[in-house]
Amino acid sequence: MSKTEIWQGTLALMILKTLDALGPLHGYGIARRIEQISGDQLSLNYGTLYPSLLKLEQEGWIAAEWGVSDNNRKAKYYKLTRSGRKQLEREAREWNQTTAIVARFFEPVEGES
Amino acid sequence: MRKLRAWLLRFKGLFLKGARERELADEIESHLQMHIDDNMRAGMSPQEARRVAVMKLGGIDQAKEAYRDRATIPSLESVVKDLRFSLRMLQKHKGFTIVSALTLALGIGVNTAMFSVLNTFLFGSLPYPQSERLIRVWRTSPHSQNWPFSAANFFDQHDQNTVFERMAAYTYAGRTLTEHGQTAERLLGLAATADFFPLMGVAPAQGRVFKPEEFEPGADNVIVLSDRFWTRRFGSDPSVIGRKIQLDGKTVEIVGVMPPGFDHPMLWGPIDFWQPLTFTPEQKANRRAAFLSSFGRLKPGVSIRQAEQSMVALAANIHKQNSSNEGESLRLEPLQLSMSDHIGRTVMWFTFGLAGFVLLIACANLANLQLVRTVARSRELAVRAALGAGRWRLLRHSFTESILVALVGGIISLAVAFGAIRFISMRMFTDLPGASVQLDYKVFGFALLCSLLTGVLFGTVPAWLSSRADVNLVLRENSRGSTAGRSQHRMRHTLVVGEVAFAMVLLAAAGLFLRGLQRFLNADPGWQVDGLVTAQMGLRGEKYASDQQRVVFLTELENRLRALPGVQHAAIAESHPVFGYGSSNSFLIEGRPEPPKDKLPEMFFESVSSDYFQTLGARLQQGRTFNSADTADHPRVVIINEATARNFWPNESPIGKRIISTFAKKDFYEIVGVVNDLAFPGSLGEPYTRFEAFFPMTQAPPSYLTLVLRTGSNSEAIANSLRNSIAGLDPDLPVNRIRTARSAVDLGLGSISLLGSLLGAFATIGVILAVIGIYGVVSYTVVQRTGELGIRMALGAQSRDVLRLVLGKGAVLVGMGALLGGFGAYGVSKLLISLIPSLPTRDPLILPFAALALVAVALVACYIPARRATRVDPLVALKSD
Repeated sequence: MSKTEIWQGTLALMILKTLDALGPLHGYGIARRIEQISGDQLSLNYGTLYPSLLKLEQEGWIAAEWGVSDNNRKAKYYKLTRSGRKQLEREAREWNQTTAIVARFFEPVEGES
Repeated sequence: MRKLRAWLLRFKGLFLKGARERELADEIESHLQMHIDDNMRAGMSPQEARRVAVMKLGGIDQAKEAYRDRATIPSLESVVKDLRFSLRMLQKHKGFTIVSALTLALGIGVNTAMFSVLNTFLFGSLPYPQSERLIRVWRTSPHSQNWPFSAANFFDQHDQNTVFERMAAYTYAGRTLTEHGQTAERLLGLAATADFFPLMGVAPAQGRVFKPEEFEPGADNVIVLSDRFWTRRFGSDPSVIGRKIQLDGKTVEIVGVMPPGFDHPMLWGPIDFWQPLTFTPEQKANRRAAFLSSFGRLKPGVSIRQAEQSMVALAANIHKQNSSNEGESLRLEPLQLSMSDHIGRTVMWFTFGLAGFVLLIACANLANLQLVRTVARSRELAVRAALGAGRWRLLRHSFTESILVALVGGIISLAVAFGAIRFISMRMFTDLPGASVQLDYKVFGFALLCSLLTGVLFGTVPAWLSSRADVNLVLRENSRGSTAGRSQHRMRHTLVVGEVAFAMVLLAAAGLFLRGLQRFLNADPGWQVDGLVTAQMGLRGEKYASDQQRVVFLTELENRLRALPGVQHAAIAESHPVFGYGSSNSFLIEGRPEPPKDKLPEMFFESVSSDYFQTLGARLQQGRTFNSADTADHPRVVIINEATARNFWPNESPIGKRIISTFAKKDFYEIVGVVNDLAFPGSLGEPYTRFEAFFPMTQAPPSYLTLVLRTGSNSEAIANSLRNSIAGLDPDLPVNRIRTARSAVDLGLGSISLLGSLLGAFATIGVILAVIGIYGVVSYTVVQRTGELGIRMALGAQSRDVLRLVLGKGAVLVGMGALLGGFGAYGVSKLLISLIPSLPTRDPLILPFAALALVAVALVACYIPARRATRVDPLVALKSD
């Protein structure tokens, strides 16, 4: 897997989780939220978000709808679909497993030092 | 599934561009606005806020492009783009598109039609399961490659061969159907051995096929009907199963009906029914009477070559054991091939080859057009190449364009092909209802392949060649005031020369063939074809069993025929010399040493009535014709033809000499007369012997009759009075095939005159296309040289000089083409002579005449643009680019 593919997968997971936590949200809002959650450690190129959103929409995990934002601007709102929620659960589980496994490799091994 | 859904959406994305673009723009804009709002709230100036927002987005266009890549399929996207572009270009250059597509359509259409004919006869499959394993077995001898087998010979092969799953034999059975209260009808059936239906592997549509016990003599009163006959005679009534009908006076029961298509008339002829072919033990042991056609189904895994080796060895063994048939062997061929004879097949390939020439001319035209287009664009291409575009990138438009044109041409070509096929079918199968040229996936595949290949090859190759040109050179060459590049000219000129050469070959081939056909038709066959009416009938049943009974009937019949109104002379014979005589035999001459068996002279033997020669219009050259004294209780007599007389009695009169047929070896026949040679004007095949002999009907009364009437009036009226007259003699005797000898000749030569029409059409199309090509190139040259011509005229050249200049160039090209084509045409004429030797195609005048005609037409095509060149206004010419 190339770096971008990993990044795309991670980004997709972050988008799904954001929508799960905050409910329907527009692209700009999702981008800001991801930055906030990462404690501004992640400097996101906002433009890369939209292909990811499109991909998730094409795969049916999320659905889009035009709406009006808090300060009265027309915006495209994305929300999690039912299958998207299941997908999120699945991916979160896999993510936890993967990180747990990878984490073990970095734990200090007993008897060695 | 999810992935598939995503791909489908992306594919859909290729086409819903406008709406998506708008939505994307809206979304990005709203994103920016929200970001700008936030930034301004954080204290930035509006400009600063926007700059930061756009930067964070990574650039508006970049963001959109990334989105688009995901929205559609990028590689397909560019193909669609190319397609749209090419379509626009083709629309813009309508003239080019239409001419190219029509040219291709003609070329491909003609070839598709010819291919479908070949496909029907040679590559198609018969409508039987695993029909590729159905193999015909022919007996071969020094006289013929297609001879039938005797019963004993067939059954030996049937029992002893190791290569066939099953072997069947059959013979044609002409029968007269009589039903109470209905008119008698002559039917054609196939009497086949027990293996026939199991071997074919097709179940009956109604009822059953024959049981094994029905192949015993006496138990064989059953028939199976063909679907065509069942529909025609019985209106597809299922209750005919079990019905009893009279065939030749014998009661037979209808036990089954075969499904439609099983009778496949192109292979078997117009078959009405099948019946069991039975043999008494004596008949089964007969090695002399050869009348059985034989075929079999190969065992799986056995190739036809292996099978032939095995069968040839078996045949040699059988001959050795029975000391029979010296010099004979056998050969195998796919049953499929029986649909056409050797001449038919060669003629089909020949025509197909010439159709290929039409396509070549069309291709040359197309290449020329494409060259012109490429040259017109060469500057643009050179600039793009100079800017670093790859060659493939440059060619892609030409490529897409050519494919599009080719496909359009291919689709139109189907219409051309269907028209041609209809015409061909109509002419080819006049005598065979239900037969048609097959149209299957192979034909469509052929058309598609043809159009793609020609399109790619002749649309892209010129473009590719010109894209190879040196950029610097092109940019310089195409600059103002100079003439166009040499390489382009050379290629276009080569194409024109090629076109003219191909057209020349086509024209010469058509000319030679049509002239040959005309001379063949006009040749004197030794008898008068016009004004002769022929009809056929068969004498079957108890009433006509003995020679004596038949002689009585025939004498009475002859008298009645003579008395018919409008009939000047009437005669009866076994067959008539339109297509060639039916039966031949070897013979010996009294008092001369007997030649070895395989060197025995072969001769046609015909039973004829006394007025036969007079009715035909043949000339008696020595001796006498038959008279009433030549009866069964008088010495046997025979009349021979001139060729026989010249060959065997070169320096003496044959009158009074005696010959004997080796078949019966019973009686010597005394030669009483010599008649001039009777040729067969309805058949182009070489007869295997020129020797003919005639018996008096009163000494050898036949069972199959051909009635020959010399008339002055129309044949329609004769047909009715003939039927009535014979019905008065015996109402159960049907007369059929009443027609004029001329129409029979036309029918016999149907496919050959069809070939003539096709060649004529090919030549016409070829010449037209070539002329269009020449016209195009010369016009284009004139346009290209406008500047140069303007200068010449400004310097004092007269319009006569300009005319000579342009015309001279055209004349050189046409002349070269005609010369090259002349060599090709000479080759084709040699080929034609070897393919159809009996057609008098040798004609020294045709070639020069064709060349002259072609050059004249081509020069007219050059003259029109040349004429235009003389009207060039030097001022306008020099000002124009």
